Amino acid sequence: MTNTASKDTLAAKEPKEYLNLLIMTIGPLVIGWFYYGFRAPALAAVCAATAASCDFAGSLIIKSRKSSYDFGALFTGIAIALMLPASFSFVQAAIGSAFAIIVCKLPFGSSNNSPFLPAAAGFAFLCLCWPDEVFNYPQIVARWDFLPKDTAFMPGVSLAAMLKHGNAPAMMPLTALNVFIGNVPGPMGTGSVLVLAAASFYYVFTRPATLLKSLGMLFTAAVFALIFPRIQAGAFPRVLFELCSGSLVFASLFLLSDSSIQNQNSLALFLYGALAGLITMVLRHVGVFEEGVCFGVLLTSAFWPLFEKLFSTALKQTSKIVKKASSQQGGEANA
Amino acid sequence: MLEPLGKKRIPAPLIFRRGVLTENPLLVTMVGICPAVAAVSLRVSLIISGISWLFILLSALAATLILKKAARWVRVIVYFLIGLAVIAPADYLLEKYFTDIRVSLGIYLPLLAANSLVALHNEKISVRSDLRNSFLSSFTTGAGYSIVIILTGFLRELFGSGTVFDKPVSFVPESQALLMPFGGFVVLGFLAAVLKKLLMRIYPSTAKTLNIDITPTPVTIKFKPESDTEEDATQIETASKINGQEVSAEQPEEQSSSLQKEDEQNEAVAPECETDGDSGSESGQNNEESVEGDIVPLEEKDSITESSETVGSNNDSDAEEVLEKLAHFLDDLDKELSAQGGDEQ
Amino acid sequence: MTGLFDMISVALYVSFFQNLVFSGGYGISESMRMAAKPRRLLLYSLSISFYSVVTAAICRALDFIPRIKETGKVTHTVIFFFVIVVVYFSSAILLRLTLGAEPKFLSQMGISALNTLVLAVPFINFGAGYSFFESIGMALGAGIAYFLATAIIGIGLQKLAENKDIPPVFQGTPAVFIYVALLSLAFSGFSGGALFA
Repeated sequence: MTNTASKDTLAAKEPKEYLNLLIMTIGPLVIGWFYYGFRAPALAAVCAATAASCDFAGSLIIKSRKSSYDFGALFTGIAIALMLPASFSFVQAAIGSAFAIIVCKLPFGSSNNSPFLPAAAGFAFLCLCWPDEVFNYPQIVARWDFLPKDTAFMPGVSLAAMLKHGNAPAMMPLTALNVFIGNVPGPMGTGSVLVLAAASFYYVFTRPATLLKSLGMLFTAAVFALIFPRIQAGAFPRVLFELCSGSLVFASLFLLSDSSIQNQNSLALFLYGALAGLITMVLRHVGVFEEGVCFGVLLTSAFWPLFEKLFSTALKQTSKIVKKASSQQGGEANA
Repeated sequence: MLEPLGKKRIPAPLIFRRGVLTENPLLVTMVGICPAVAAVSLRVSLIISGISWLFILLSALAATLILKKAARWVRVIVYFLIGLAVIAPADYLLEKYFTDIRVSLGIYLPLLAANSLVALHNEKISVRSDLRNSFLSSFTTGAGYSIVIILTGFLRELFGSGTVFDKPVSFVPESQALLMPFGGFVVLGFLAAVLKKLLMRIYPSTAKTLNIDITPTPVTIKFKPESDTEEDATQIETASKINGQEVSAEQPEEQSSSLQKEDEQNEAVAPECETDGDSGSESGQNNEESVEGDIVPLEEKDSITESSETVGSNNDSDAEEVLEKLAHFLDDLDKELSAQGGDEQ
Repeated sequence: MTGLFDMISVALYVSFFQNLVFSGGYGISESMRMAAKPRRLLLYSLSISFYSVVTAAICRALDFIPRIKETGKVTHTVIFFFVIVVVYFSSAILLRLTLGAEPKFLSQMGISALNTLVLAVPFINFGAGYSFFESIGMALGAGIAYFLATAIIGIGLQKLAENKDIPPVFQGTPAVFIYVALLSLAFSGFSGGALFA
């Protein structure tokens, strides 16, 4: 089942991989700008700049070997920002980005070589440091601001919070369209599933296999939501709210980029996504945070090799049994 | 890694260098990590380091003066009880006079008695050295351990709570997550990197042999006895190397028997003194079974904390012997009982 | 039945949701060292479970005696220590006399008996006010948590060994510490990073 590419090939692919991801973040950034004003791209810029400067300075200090710039740091900063509320503090967001690079990227050489995705680790760090602020989402303002304004954000209640508290009545006024386009308080760049779906078309032309991971994650999350609903509602609303809440779709597209499974077969990619979806949904149910997708991504990276080896052993055993049975049947038929 | 000092007079600066830098218990040998996780402030870390240092000294003295003749499995119990003797009064005093500090220590204070550093150091060094070497080694090892704990506590308090000795420090962002266990590991990781950088600069020859290579060995979780076909067992395999030599799952018996022979030779002959500049290569030559700075330092056979690889296949022969003895025991018992039954008749 | 359910739920909780090794650092030294040599990981974990269960059962049973229950924390500390020592000593004597276990094997048992993870179990049970079955569940969970943590760390070590791009200053123990830190961060998603004790 394992068929990892050589490190040289991966290193050559690194800049392009992250450049693709950066291009895909344009849509969510634009929609964040529309919903929350200038603060959204400003926050993303602060995070990206912090991540890039930490990467640059850190590489100089530790004399890390690099063949070319990989855009990984930029992507890390922007991904962290997109998962945060637009009203989040610049300083705290910068700390999260710095953590992601200094702790999760630099010690391991590059983003591709890191055992955990830096963006997920950075966001998880922020959740532990400032949980109230990370999940304090502002109301949508829906305007195009080209300059920062002094207007304070009004607090809003996100879909994820409603699901966490089982607050079905609060969700009734929400229409499927509003939920789908992200016209609900939430993370500044991950709420609009429509925009993310449009961004996913980019993968169809560049890395179609990656979509299998996303499908695995979303499919598992949908099935989990059907079987273990958090709100009393019909099947469609249960699945829709669960999938459109928090950063689930965003994570399925942008955060499941574990390098060790880049070149594996379709089943492995799908199962990887399924494992991530399962862990994320369990975290949503029993974890302390309303959105645990980043922790889910980290745990998936940790558990996947174990799962893969056990699964590949089970697959080998099964194929041996099947071969034995078929050879026995063939022997009997000949007799 | 930790090497016996023997009875030769080793210069004190050399012992100091080993205990604090090249064989730092936390950052190089990776023992006694649990208390470092508990060091969330400078105050707490001072108490942890003080108690740990005292515990290491007293247990080393006991190991050198009294416990040399005792069996190893008895010695560990004595270390444990010495830990209790140190910690119980400390616990009582803290509970009485410094309740807030006692609360912040939580259950980590009594856990200091189970610090693996004490058993490791005493078994590797104290029981095999004379009083002078043992005292100096335990003193410097305790110093190295304490320095790291204090630094960890200081950094975590500064960046986690924004205070130093409970006094607020401005312009330092607080990240509460650093006060959690993972924050302790992060700080230890960066301190280990700083130490490595320091060693690469100051003692480059030592640093080369301190190339802390991770050499994983077979991760084999077998649910039934080894069979000819390895596929029968559920296995999680990794690259298998012991001391740079490729080892397959079928070879561990041979490997550990060769390790056992080397270890018996090492036990019989006191290792040569380290001299400045040559320490790395000498220690590398003396202890072939463990690379200096190896993440798995205790590949010597008689280490208290050596893991299963060196004892593992020995455990196979141990297990067979035990089963044989059990069979003999049952046979003897059977004979006795039948003899008694015959007598009664 | 309720007792059994309590036992299983606590065991699962301390194994997965608040893994004792990652959330509290208990037994982390032994876990990291065993991760590189995990040949007898299952046996070692079972041994830890055994000592944890027996110790937890005896310590919890002693608390049913009113005179002992009323004593303070320091007295309980002393009691827990002596219980562990007696359990290990008894098991060692038993193995030595009946099965003729080698001293090396007994010292190996000593590592699994006298470590921070086994010692933490009665303290956590006492602090959390667990019932008898919950205490047993906690003890079982300690062994499972150790097994899981060591397996995951072992896999991480393999990844680190294959990564040739790690900067020289981070090669070896620094990278391992940071890897374990990130594992601990990942497991914090269940508990919010709150320490168990």
